[in-house]
Amino acid sequence: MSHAPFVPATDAEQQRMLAAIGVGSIGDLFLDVPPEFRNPKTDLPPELSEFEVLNRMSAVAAKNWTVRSRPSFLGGGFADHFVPSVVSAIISRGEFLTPYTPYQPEASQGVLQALFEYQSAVCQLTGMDVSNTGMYDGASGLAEAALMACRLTKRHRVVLDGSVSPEYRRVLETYLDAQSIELSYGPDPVDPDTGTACVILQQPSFRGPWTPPDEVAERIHGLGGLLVVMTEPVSLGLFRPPGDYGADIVVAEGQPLGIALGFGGPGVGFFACRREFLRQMPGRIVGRSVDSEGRDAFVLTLQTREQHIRRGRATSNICTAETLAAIAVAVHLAALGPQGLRNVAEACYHNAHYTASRIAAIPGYEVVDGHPSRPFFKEFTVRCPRPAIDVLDELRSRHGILAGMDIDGPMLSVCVTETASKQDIDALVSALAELSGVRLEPEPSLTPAAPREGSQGAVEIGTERSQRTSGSAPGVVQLLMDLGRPGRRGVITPPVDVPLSLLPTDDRVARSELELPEVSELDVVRYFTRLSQQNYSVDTNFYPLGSCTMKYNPKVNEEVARMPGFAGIHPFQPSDTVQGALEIYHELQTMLAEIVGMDATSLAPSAGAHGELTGMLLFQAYHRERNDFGRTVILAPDSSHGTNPASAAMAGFSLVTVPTGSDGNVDMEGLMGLLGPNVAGIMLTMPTTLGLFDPNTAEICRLVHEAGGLVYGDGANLNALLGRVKLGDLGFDIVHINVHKTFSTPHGGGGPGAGPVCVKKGLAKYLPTPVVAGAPVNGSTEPAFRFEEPSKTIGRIGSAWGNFGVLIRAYTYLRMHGEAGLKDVSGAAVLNANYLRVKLRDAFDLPYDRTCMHEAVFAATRQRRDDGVKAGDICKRLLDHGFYAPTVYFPLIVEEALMIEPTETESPETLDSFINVMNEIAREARENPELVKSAPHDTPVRRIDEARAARQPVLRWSRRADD
Amino acid sequence: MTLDPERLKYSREHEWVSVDDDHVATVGITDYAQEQLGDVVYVELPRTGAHVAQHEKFGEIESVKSVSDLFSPVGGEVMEVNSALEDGPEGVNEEPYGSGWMLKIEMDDRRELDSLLSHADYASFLAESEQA
Repeated sequence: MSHAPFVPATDAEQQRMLAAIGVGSIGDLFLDVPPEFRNPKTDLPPELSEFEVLNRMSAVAAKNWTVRSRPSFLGGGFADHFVPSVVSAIISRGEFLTPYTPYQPEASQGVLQALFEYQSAVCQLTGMDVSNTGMYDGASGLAEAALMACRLTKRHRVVLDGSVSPEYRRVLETYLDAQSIELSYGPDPVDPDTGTACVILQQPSFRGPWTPPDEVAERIHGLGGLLVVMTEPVSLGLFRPPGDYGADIVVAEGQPLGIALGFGGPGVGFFACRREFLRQMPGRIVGRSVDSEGRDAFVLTLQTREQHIRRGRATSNICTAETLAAIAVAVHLAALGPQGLRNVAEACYHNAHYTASRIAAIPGYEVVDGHPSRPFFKEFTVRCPRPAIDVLDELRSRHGILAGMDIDGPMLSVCVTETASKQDIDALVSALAELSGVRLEPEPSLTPAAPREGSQGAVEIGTERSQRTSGSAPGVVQLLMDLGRPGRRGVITPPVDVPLSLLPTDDRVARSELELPEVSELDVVRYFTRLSQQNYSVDTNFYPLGSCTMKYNPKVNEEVARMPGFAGIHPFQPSDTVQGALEIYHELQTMLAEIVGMDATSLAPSAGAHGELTGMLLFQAYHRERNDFGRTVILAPDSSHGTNPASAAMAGFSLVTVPTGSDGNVDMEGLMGLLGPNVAGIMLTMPTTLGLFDPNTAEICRLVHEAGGLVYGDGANLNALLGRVKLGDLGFDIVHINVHKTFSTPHGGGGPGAGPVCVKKGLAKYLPTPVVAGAPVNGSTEPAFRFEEPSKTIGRIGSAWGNFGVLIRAYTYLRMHGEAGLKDVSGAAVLNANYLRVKLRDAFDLPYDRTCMHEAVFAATRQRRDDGVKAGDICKRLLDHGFYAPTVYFPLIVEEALMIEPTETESPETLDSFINVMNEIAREARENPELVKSAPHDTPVRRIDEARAARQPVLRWSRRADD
Repeated sequence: MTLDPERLKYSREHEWVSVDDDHVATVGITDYAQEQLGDVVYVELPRTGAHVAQHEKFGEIESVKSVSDLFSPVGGEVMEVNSALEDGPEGVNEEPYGSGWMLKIEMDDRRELDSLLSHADYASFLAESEQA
């Protein structure tokens, strides 16, 4: 019996499949791997059962302090906010949790429409024209905004205002330095010139104040540059939106709007801009169009900007981002409505101002920058009588309070949200007073403010929409804004129990209107539940999507990720309060490096493409340190993913393709002709995107090394190699791993993912900062694990420490598979793919007819030539049969490609029924081609007018003409 | 205005050109090219006053899932661009030799026309490349 808990095939069934393929054992499917590299020892902890893994994870989670278990005042972009239950109920649905990116819109309307709601909400909040579906996080989004401003203005200098936090500054440095873009730190106020691509402001400033930015906006626009604003999304319930004061691009950390802290990841980066800049926007965009029957339908649009089409000239290398987190934001904002968001923003404001006034009253403490014309929101800075770091240590160790963050010297940053109680705040104030030897008179007890129906401010909530009667024309989709009724509300927000402060009323500061859906909680539940039912997902359908490894996502992963000891920790907590999280990071770093045969790991990248970019920055750092500046070219086979050239371009390299030979392997002569002193290295996917193991891989690595280059392994197809081949043994220097593919974390309809990068010893010093170091020490009181900065680090690449919430799922999966379990995973995956290969090769062409790895690449050339039926048509017809589609038209070197990856978690019955359906479709293509060409027939919508979506982009809700 | 394809000159990059007596060349893409691209959704054209060289890139054309470079069949200064394509890129599909035109160029050198293909030559060029 299999050692892998999620492989359904029995030994007898596997024997039958092997017989059908014509080989004796699973090992016989790996004969393309030279014997010296086969079946290395993989040293992993023994596998645990689900019961054992849950016990272990509970014990580890208990080592972390959570922000709700102690009074906590941590901010810096992430903050503890109340998330209503409805958010987790919706995003836990398998139909949202387990689909792929919605490339087949007929089977993905739920994800697409939910993202359209997200785009609409982000536009309404920020006051911008258009939004994408989200970036990894705020920091990388900000870096992409700066790059976009450089493309738009064709200028190469970015000016940072003093309001931008040092954390964001470090990420900007990493991204901009790679493309030799100058980053200057403005004096205050900033001083741009005619060479400035953009000025970046953070609003409110990381120190607290919200400064009317109209003059800066006018100034930079007068010079032909752009204004980029990093904002805080909850503050937009109260403060003027950036679109109102001339921002051209707006970015924000989305975590405060409905996403668990989860040690700082996953979150989502808002990214919105003015309409005229749409074509330079990075990331995915959903548009509204109609299907072939005239019904409203949604579809990914303007995709020519993206890496899978424009490759090296794309607006970004971003692929998988944070779809599920973006949907959480959409659900959260719908549940809050405009009044709810306003209430939360006011509660933050009142709590923060109460806290600040009490601290300011303690002798020796001063709240800096407190001026009525520059109000703060939920974060403010305190000058302490002692170094802030000592204050923090003292309050933590003696009072169990997480008092905030150390900015510099005596400066302490304090963040107070609606979740802080008066009791928490008073505890903080007394502890600070005690520290400076002052005994405070207890604050007279006040009558808590009554929960407010209206708000103090003058914001006009909602709209004067006419009341639509229920029912609308058939095929017309009602969005949340259409369903809303003025005054209707979803969730009740936490009450305020501190004395109220005066809210900003100045027009230059305060927001005057806010449009968001006004719906009940039940409306929200029904709306998103019905949307979910329009998605195909791994939980509901077989998903043979090549190169995407859509395996089953075990439910235990979800249970672990939701444990409060993991979900409720702030990324900027001191390391001794997050030992459990660091322990997981440390073990995962070690296990991943062991699996791929490397020495060190960074868990910071938020997705595979982010890992690729990291890898390219490592290449750059390596050659730069050797003063070898002539290496500007990256090689990659012509079958590579579009992210490869796009990632190389983001690091300032250009990409040259290496031809593939007729056997599907790298053309060795072609490779040798390209190697030279200008080559920084090669990006190689192994197994290749043709689903084949190239027997010359070790020789390729040797040749590239001999020419002075490095070898990067795109780990997209790692599922085939688990426990059977280590890429490090073959000579790879760097490998990234897509944990949503190989290690079963749910794809979420396009993220969150995680793209850990493993390297050989000599490259470890360049890894992104931080990595986790340490070891458990028996009997020591010192914390065992700590963050460490590698000595020659390429810098920070994201807002926090990577997508912890995703990585912990991967860790859980790994702990349920020991060495034998992983080997059974890869064995079953390769067996299933070869079974499909032999069973479908009569009906479809097989351009490379040899033993495949985890996937088989067929071609619909025969169908296209004889009957005019294309690969894309066959995919649509599969949807009618309840199967998701294979990957089509990729790799680019295979005409009419149909790339099929069954994964190890499908049963032989599922594979057989898929085989039957594929044979049936091949028959239909001959006998009734029109039926296939006009498919799908039975999906929630039919083929969508993608040309219309791209020609007249409708990217957000707006009042229809008939309203 | 729809031009007679038989009276045009063609490049191997699937652009056509029509020249009047004043050295002004009108440029567009061929019917074959628009057919290959499928639904055109966006055309990026140079600014008026820009200079383009023969056989060099002057813009980009996008269908739903592809991007292609546009190459000028002749060199010269761009006198006018078809701004109707901004909001109506489908003109390229509907009337490639008419409302789908892209540029009017004041030619630097009329002799550049000599290297272009006649309608009949372009037709046999297409037939050859289809076979290959």
